[in-house]
Amino acid sequence: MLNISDTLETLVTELSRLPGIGRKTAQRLSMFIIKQPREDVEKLTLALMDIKDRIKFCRVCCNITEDEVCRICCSEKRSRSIICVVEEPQDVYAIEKTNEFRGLYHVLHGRISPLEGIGPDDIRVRELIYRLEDDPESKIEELILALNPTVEGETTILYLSRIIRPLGIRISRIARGLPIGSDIELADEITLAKAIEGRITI
Amino acid sequence: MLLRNLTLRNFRNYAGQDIIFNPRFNFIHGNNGEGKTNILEAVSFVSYGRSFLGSAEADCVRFESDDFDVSGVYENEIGNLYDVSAGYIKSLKKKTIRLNKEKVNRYSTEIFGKFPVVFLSPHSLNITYGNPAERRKFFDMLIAQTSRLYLDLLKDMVRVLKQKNALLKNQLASKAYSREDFMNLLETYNKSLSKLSSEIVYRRLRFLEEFIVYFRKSFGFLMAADDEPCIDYDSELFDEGKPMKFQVSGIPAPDEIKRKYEDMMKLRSGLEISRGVSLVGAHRNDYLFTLRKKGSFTGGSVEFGLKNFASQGEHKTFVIALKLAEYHFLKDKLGNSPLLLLDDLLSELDHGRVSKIVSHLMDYGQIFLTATDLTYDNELKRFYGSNEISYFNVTAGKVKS
Ligand SMILES: [Zn+2]
Repeated sequence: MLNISDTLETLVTELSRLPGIGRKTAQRLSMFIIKQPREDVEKLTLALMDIKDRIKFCRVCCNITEDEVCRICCSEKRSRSIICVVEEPQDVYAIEKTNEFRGLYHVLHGRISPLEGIGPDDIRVRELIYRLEDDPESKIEELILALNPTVEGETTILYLSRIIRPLGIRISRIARGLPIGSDIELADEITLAKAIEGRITI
Repeated sequence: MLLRNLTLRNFRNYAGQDIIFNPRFNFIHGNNGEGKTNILEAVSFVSYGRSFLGSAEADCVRFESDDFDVSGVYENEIGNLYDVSAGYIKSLKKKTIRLNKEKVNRYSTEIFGKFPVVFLSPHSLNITYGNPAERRKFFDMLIAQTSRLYLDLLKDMVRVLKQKNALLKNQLASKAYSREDFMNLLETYNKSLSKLSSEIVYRRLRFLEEFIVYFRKSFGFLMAADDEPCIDYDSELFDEGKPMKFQVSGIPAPDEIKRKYEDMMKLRSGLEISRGVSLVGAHRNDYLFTLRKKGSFTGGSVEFGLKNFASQGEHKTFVIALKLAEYHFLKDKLGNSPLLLLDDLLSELDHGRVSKIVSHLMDYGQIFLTATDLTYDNELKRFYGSNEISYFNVTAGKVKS
């Protein structure tokens, strides 16, 4: 295709680097931005710069925050004896929405995947171990591993439980299984098999 | 299951072709290289989204075109119709499969095993002649069509293996991890891999126990009854490297297999680290075909490993028996008759065996047969009524019926 404008081409290239955005979508977004009033584009630009300048990672749980320590970690109402470990910040919001969990979080920012060159040092495992082992103020007794049910998520769960078990902290993982309201006879065999594997004593 | 019709567009040497099939017997004839097998290949695309010959999609696109489309309408035993289509765009490297016009996203759960097809072609001889991967592929596909759980276990194992191999390679090539991290990760992958491998091996053994009955039945129908064929599972886990005669010793529990795998992985881990590649797991197992011949001199029986001892004819008989057993196994398990596709089957077989096969074809559902000529037509007509056979003459990517 003929390159109409280098400026446009630069924007399209940059936008298409975003996850889930292909070249076609990037072109559409660029055309939309061109037609927007200047002040709207300024607002967008400012929001983008702000997020880079102001958002940091919480010193304790590695979640994103505007402060040194995030609001959850600071809150007096949260239990300090239990940590829920998740892959990404958006998982924190998903669990917070349930209003069921009153403990603290730890955000790994990824999962172990040698294929993509991601080892334990490339995600926030050291920070987690520090909280469990070295932090003098730590009162952690239990860890819930709430990672995705993918091969990489499973590996990260197995790896974490392997290195954390010697610390004498109770470890559990979130159950996988049947969605609420579904009948056993309608569930597919994989979901059923996992539900049976993750059964709990009553 | 019946395939009522098939449409090919820019597929192989077909520019555009509509074919309406006979519910019983479809005789596709023409000279070699005119496009007979391409029709069967198109059927494999609408059955399970891939070429039964293992061809890349890009190679199936017609000369000077960018995309192909094949579509067909299936009818099941109770008259429900399913419209399946498979398309591929070369420039975008994009394959799309549609079921009743809707895009199939999780192909393995939505289509796999729904439109069963059994292919018997010269290519099938790879099952006995080829390397262990060919045999694993044949049996894995067969088991997976009847168990989605098995398919899932296989997919997970492939992924875990890729990750473990990447770990070993990264460490060997550039010491990517600290010694402690590396050992912990390796143990983690070994744990997953032993679990997955044991589940897979257990299911393969259970499958073989059932399948061997089907297989011996098909084999007995093709060969003298005093030859007993066996399929043994060959794994490093059993009997210090000797193939496992599970018919005799029974099937070990998954936990027992898992423990054996864990021990074996510990034992070989030094070698795995120094070579930078995974050496233990269900992905390295094989199926052994043997023929137990009753010796007339000794009164005892002699066992022949098919790979080393059998004649061309015995290989072929073995493969035909495997395929016919596959048909009956799938039919029983899925409650649904597969299509039977016989590509160039009759050309190299002796007349006696062909007559035997032809006389039993009525036991099968819808059949598609390719041949260079109509040699066996008279034989077929003894079993099929005139409206039960349709003829398709193929010349240069055009079909005349
Ligand atoms: Zn925090």
